[in-house]
Amino acid sequence: MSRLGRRNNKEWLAALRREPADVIALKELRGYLRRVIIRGTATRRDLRHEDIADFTQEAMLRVLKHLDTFRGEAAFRTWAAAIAIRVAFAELRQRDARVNRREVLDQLFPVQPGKSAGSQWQIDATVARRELLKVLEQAIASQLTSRQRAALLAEIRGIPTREIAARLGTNPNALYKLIHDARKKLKLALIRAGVRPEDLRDELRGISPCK
Amino acid sequence: MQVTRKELIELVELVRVTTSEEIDCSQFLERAAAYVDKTDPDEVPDDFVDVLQHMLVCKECCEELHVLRALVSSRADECDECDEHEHEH
Repeated sequence: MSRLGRRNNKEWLAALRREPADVIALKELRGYLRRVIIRGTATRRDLRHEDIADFTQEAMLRVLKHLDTFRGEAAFRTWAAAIAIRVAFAELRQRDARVNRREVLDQLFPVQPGKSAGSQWQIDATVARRELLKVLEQAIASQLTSRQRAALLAEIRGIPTREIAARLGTNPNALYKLIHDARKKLKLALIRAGVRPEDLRDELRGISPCK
Repeated sequence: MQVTRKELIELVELVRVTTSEEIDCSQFLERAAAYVDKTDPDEVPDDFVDVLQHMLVCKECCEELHVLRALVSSRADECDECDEHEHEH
């Protein structure tokens, strides 16, 4: 078993905060984060040796930077692994986004002057004529800002959070709040109109796409 | 922007599970390790309702948590010796 397993949380924090730096502890942490990244991204065949090194370095920096936020509710190694996985996956998603999602992003967040982000949603006519869906369509048009419409649709279309945030000139947490506010507005609008989201969902599921 | 029926279903489902107070992705990251260490995959303890709710609305955090749980439960992260034999990427 590794020393990571043998050290308790308190010992880990003490070793990593020591002045001068505890070189052995730092080396063990780096090796551990590297293993987490390699195994966590095992299905990615496009990963290069340099990627592993870059992700490990970034994870190392973040773990050390955020030591004070570790509250001891989990094992130190699990906490550090969560950070390493966040670093690696965020980078990989953004790389995919750059390659595959440019067109979708350009459509949702036009850069041409005079065109605002997230213009009105066009809901398929077969779907939109249903009464329940008119309520939703109206709520989307009247309650949401253009940024909220674009961000919501980008999220549903699988655009990575960091990529959407970058397009909007904001950060992921602010983007989360923007989208959360949009969802709350829509939920409130549906409730006020006497429509339960589950009924709306069932109605949508029941519509044949072939009609 | 043309919106498909499938996208509308996803939107309505997101709206359905929306709550007035939610944790964001940074707060989720702070709680994820404790959730993995203290619960079984099918457990829904009251202490972690916020974590589970976030997973319903955030695919990215949900994906990361599943990877973390798989690593921790398989102990694949613990073996120092394996590092020596790790295949080259």
